[in-house]
Amino acid sequence: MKKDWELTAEQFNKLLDWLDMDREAAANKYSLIQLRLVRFFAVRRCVDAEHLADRCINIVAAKNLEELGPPEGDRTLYFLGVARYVYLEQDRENRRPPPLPPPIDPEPDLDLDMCLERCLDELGPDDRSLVLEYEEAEKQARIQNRRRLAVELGITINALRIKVYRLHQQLEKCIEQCLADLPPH
Amino acid sequence: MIRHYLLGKLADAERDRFEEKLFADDELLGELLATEDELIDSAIAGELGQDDAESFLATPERRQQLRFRESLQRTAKLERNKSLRLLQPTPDPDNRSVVGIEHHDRSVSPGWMNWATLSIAALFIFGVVIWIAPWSHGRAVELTLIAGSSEREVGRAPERLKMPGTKDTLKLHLVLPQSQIAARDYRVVMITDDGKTRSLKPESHNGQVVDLAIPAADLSRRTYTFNVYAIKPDGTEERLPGNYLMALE
Repeated sequence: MKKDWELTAEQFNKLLDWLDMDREAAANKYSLIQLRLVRFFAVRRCVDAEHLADRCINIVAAKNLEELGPPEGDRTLYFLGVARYVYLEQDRENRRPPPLPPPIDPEPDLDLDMCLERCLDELGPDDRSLVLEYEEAEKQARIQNRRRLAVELGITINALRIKVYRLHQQLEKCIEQCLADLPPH
Repeated sequence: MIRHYLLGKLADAERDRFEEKLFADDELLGELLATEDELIDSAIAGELGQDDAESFLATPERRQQLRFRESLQRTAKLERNKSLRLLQPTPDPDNRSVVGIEHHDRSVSPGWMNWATLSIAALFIFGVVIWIAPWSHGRAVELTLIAGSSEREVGRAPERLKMPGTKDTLKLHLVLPQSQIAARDYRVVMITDDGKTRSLKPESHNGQVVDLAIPAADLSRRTYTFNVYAIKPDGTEERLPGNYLMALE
């Protein structure tokens, strides 16, 4: 795999401007692009899909965006083209599906539960409550519960899923740090 | 179609066409997240077929995601149960189980206050109260431990307890030493006699006692030391004096 480079603040800002002149809309588009890219690589069973997604974003950001030019509506699709290029560029070794990981331990992971508790506490009370309520009930009742949450928040069910997904990402990063900080077993 | 995409079952050309739609349509992305949620829920419930499970959980990231969602669902369930218990009427303290299996929330029961008072008295005489539940299948086995006064207390014998059944849960109540430390939460570190450590999140605490629930399947016949850390309001931790010893036989 080629060595990656760091995205400068200037490149990142230019990328956001290129996606949308409205900064909030641009940030939203950026996170949805990242989400799609992660799926693109995960479906192909690439190891570290998030890293590869970031790599695609870095490649686009490093270009001369003023001259790059696909019409605004096609800019998200431009990342798809880059993702295909990055995927093809991978070493044959890296592209092979990884060997199956060992079976999942059926026992609860107490360290993970503890870190999750801590990280949930770091979310605001509304977000904490939303993340937990999103998991409530089972099967059909869970779907109904999520529809109810979306109505209460005044957003579509898809917007709710994306909102919760972002909170999950935040929690997963926090948990990763928390687990790394725990004393070794 | 979305399910097939996530399971890697689409032919290359079909997958490419689907991705062109996926990158252009936010609604489709939302539907993909919903399907991914369903697949994760099915995997957690063990309802995903073997081929689908192997395909969907082929990468370490997916497996990590699965563990995270399992943990989230456990936590959500615990929180819901806590809320439900708080809504239930307080049980009559006179009807409390003789063997110490408690089904009520300690934080709201008057019986609990009596117990706490007794525990503090026990601290002065350095006694230990042991409640052992019947060795039935999947029950709670309760043990109350008092902190040793010093790390260097030579020859202090650990509290001995018969190894619970693998489906039981050991409920440990660690009576806290008197301390001026203001704590918003506690963390307990369990150290085995072969030097392995594990960080445990208390099930509950009331400033005088920290309650732990440890699945017996996580324990073995050995000696355990527990150290308690107070988590202060500013997030820093301070180790409380003394430690707790327990030997499973």
